[in-house]
Amino acid sequence: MASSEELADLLARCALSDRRAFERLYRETGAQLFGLVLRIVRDRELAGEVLQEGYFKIWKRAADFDAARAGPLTWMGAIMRHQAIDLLRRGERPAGAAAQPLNEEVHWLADEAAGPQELTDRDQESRRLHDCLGQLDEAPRRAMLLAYFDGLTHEELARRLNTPLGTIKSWIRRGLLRLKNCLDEP
Amino acid sequence: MRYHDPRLGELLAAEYVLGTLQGQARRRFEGLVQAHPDLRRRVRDWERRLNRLAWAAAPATLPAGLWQAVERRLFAEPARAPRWERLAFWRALALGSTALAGLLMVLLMMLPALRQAPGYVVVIHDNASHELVWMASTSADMAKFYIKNTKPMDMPGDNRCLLWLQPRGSQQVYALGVLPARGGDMLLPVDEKMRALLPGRLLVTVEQAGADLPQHPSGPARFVGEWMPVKGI
Repeated sequence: MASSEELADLLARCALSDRRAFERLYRETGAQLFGLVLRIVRDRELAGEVLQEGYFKIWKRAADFDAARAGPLTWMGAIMRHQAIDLLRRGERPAGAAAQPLNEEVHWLADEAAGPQELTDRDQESRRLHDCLGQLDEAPRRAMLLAYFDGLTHEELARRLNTPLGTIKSWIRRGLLRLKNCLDEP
Repeated sequence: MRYHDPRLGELLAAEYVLGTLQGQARRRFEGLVQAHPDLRRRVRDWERRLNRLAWAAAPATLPAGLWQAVERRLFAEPARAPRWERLAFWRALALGSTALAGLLMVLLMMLPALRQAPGYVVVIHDNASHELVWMASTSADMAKFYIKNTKPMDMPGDNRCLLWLQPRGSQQVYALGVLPARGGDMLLPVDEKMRALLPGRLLVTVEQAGADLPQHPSGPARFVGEWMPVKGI
């Protein structure tokens, strides 16, 4: 994938209605964002719809992108995830999909996975996020990552992790606040 | 909600971005975010923190034809003339000739206002009889519609007519609001997020009354809207 600077440049050109820049942006980020969305909605057709809506919004809102506030993929990922979570919460995911165990686990969960290293090579701030996640206890970290990557609700997490609902809620809350404190440290 | 409580606001923003806020709470929070810059900032900060994880998702092979669908959705000018410029549409509309006469009268009466505020006129007709049932006008920014029910309907008290938007090229529909059905008129504000999706396909279904707008129509659309741009005046 192109570097953050290149993606930011493409977004800036999209804001000027450059259709070729938009096509290049799609080619550079489509597979990554499709992977993100597919993991949440678990259905290629639905994920395709989410991507269509998402890229529609990215094109329309390209002028709102502010590189000082967020990286380009972070910004686009937020739009796509929002779209995917909204679809889930409207109950459009095929019934039972969330309960199905996945073959592949979130590779952040495995310390030896290649993902984080590739990730940390890519940008400094992601390395920081990885380190801060690493400081959380394993169970709350796992719950948070499953919520993020699989779009699971508190109840679905409780079932998947075979843990009382109250414990899940408190893991998530404490995990989020600890993560914030860690990330916001100067 | 005690949204002025910073700790609660922070937690809700975090859970919203993580995706664990759901149902009514999620929708209520979205409404609050629109109204409170402090919550908006918190949501942005959490998006910045958490969405770096987007890099960590495993890429997946894109479906063939998705780019073409995205491109069509964004850029394709209709290959054919818009429906309102096609003869078949006017033939269908002419089936209700009194309705057409009424439509022209109303259009003529609206001309001075439209000259100052170019936008769209929407006619919503009965799918089966083609009778005109609602007329609406909106300025180019689509912030609100002025909607008039031109054919009062005899409906049970607990039923209501709901206006839906189906964005171009999308299978999804979004509820825009309840329409007047007994001869009245109203101003219908359009949510900021929806404005970008207009003009799209407008549909009306008859739904049971309830406190909230439903997420999905309960049956097929009984009425369909047609857009007419205000131009050449």
